[in-house]
Amino acid sequence: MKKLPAIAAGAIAISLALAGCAPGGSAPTGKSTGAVVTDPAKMGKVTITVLDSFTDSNSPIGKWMGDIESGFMKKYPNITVARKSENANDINSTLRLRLADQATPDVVPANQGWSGVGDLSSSGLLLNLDPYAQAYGWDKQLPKTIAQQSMASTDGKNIGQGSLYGMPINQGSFITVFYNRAGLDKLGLKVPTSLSGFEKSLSAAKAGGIIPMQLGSQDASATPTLLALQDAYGDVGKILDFVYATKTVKLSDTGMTEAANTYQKWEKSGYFPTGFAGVSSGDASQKFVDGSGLFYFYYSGFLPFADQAQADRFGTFLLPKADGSPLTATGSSTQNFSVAANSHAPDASALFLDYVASKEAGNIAIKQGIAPVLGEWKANTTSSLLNDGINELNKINSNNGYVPYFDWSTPTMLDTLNQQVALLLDNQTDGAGLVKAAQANYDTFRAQKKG
Amino acid sequence: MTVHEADTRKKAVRFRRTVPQKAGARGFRAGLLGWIYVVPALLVYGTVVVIPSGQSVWYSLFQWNGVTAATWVGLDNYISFFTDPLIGQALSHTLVLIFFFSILPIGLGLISAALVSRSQTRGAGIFRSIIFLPQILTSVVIAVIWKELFSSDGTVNTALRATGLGSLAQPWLGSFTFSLPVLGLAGTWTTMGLCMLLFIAGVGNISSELFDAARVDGAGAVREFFAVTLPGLVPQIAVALTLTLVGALRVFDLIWLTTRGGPGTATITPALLLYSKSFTQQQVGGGAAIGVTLALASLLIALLIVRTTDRSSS
Repeated sequence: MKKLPAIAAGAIAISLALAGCAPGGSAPTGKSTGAVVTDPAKMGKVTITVLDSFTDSNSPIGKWMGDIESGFMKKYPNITVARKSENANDINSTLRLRLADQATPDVVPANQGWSGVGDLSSSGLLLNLDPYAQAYGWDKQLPKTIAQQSMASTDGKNIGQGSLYGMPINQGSFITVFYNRAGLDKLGLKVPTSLSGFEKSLSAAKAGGIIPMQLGSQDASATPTLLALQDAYGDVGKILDFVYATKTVKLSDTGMTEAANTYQKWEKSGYFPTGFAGVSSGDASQKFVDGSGLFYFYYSGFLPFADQAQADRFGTFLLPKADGSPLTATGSSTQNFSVAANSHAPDASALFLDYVASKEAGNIAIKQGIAPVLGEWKANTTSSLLNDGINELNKINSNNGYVPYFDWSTPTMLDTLNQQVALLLDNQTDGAGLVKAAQANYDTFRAQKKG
Repeated sequence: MTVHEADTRKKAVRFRRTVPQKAGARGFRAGLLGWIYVVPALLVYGTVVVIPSGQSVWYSLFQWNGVTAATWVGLDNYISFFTDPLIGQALSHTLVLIFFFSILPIGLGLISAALVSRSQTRGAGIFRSIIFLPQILTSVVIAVIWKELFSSDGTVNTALRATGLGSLAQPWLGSFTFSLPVLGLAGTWTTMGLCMLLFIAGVGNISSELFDAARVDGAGAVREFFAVTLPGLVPQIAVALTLTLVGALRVFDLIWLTTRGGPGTATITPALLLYSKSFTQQQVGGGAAIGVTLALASLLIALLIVRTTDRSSS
């Protein structure tokens, strides 16, 4: 027994010694060595590992990824794609550790915004894609507001500017308003073309005994409605400046206060189903698809339709702006892909990125019934729902009206917004309170970045 | 010299020669053998538990994002944990969970032990197995069950509406008032079986003479419980208290899989703060500091309970 303290001290000393001095080390700089190669013939026989988050191989996006994998290998037979699908949460929490390893996947789905591209590039874990952007012409192909979503400054202090660290896939979604076509007809209404018209539809639905808006907020995912409203009240330039910190903009000047107050007003007016706070967004989506509720704010392309026939019972439109100005919408490509700085096949990986953003990839998206995001497309598919989506896409592209997801502004902004929305919909706070909390989150993060 | 004296002398010499030598050699060999048995397990334990624990303590003294070089900050991570604006809420939620995970199950376990000590019910073994069943379910399964039971259209609300109590139906896991107690009930449901089993077994160990003496002295059920059953169960209560208190302090998966700490911050706990710090905010040092604090708190609780129950049982 007398030996025990000595043994304990010895064990601790050994473990400290093994832990080494200050943990962590210098990370790779993320710069590609030597000239870039774009000719697939010169790449020889090579295998690249691609990590993605499309775990449901039966979903439209899962099928899209499968087609991309086979299409790429058919086009470039000397390059093999070894694909790994994992849950998005798991990827996000372990990606930085995997990228630091030499055995990292070559192509990784780094999320846009601070918690993904911003953080990983500033740690030197992602390959700087500027040389490839020039060689492939990506800088001309991508609209500015899309390219910004994958850019970060090389000093790690800013996103939305600097160098390119990721490429979007040519498949995207907006936060959009789905509507039940039969429900709208039954009430004798047309698709609203103004925000006040939309609110009139909500009250008409309530009067007509139909649930005006489907909603489920139990799993902290009720922000789509808030962001769509922010786009309706705010100015896209100011929102861009706030998210990317290119100028000092107050959150209250981005339409967030009005958005939150309207959201709360809708709850008080009884437009949401009873007990929505205890229903998960997955259950709410299913209920909407099964016919309950007139409108539903969600990401386009992500409702659990059983088949195209069920999908075409619904339509989509973007929430009109409060002042009637040209449409803008929160949207982006469904996934961004980046190349690991430690990748052993950067040229082949960059070629893969070029493929997923190509017109061919966009055609595959249409084939799977989901909308592309780059380029101009004709709304002449067999699916009326998809045609609505393509019309939205063309409008936003012509307005250059892509709004970045607001939660990209700090790594913890999404948590803050989710918490505040729960308080808002329970009438424990108001628009001003929500804005104050989100502003504090933003200011703390920006102060850390400056120091 | 008689034969007897020679025998005694031989015996004495034999005895003197063998005992000291054999004790030394046998003692050393026995010690070495013991070490050989223990070393493999020690190696595994050391690599999987001791070394990472030491590393955690070391990392907690740095500000580190897990990849690039770290900066020394000393005890700053601990200070920022204790001054975190959410820590007050997290700790008060832990106190609520302690009631549901620890106090309530122990109370229910003691009541069932008291009932068992007085009578024998038919089929008691079956009831005990059913009540113990939740203990062997993993937390993921319990979370899925609870989420379905307490969803707005789940079993509980459906049952309430079917029995005319529809006005009591709530969005349980989305309610600021009810989400934490509902999660606490999951803990009660899980640990009640363990406590009950511990105490019933413990009651079986109390000498029946004590019970007889109490009854002869005219003690009723309550008096008998406090005079005989409770003191006899002190070691079991110590075990149950330690396990359940530490469980309440560390709970993460049940909350993460049902409410993620929501609605708002209504169900956050220190373990959730640890997750947020390590994975959302990418501050591994800060997360390690929270982990070390929770480990020390658990150790303190265990020590306190052992000290108190040692004193009372001796």
